[in-house]
Amino acid sequence: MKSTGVKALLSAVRVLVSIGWYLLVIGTVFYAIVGISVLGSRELSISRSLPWVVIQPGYALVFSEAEVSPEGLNLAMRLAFPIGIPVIVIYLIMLRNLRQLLARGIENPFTLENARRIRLIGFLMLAGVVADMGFNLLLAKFVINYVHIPGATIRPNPLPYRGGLFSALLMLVVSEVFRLGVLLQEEHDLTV
Amino acid sequence: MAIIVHLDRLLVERKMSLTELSERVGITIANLSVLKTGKARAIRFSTLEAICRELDCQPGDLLEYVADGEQPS
Repeated sequence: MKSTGVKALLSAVRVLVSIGWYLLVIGTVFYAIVGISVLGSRELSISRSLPWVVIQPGYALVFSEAEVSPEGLNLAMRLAFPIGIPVIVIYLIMLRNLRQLLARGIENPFTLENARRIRLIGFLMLAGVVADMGFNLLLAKFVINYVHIPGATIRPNPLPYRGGLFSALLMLVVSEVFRLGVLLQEEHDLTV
Repeated sequence: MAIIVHLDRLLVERKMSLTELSERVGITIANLSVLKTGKARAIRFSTLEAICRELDCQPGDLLEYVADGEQPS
């Protein structure tokens, strides 16, 4: 009964990861088409100031009196594509490994291949945190230079995303536990 | 350096098959094959005791330490 529940949960996770994978692949193609067309165009259509919106989990802050300069918007649109590529590549590799892990690894999880996959996912998550830090610093520079909010002072925040950092380190620890598990299993299998 | 297992030699001397030994000691043929072919990483005292009991031998008859460059006896 318990085993059936776990299997059903794993199947659900497998389906979700697969859906995520296909959505990301479709999104990547769409992103590439839009990104290339934006980079290829000499004149961008944005030529007026727009309000500034800060989207947070659970709510969005709309500064209707804020102004984003057209120059800044044009720059952001041109930079979004090259900055977004490494992030998409990280997510593609991560989801690909996660799919392989769920597709082949569940029946016999303690293999060196699975340990390697989990370690790779951990390192990619770590790379994502570093990339996120870099992206946020760039964003801060952009906001300071091109966004004007009356009465507000904008300061850069160099702190990394702690949740992501913790998850990445946890994955690295889990991969090491897996590797040790594989070695223990080998020892056990060859003990008569 | 290596530990050589002389299970095949002892079986020939006792005129016993691997299947018969497997039944007598209660260890699968697959595990005994692992031991016989020298692939085993470890051997339990209980296994060693059972094999020695059924083959009427000492652990030293079953296992031999051979240093690098030396030939097993």
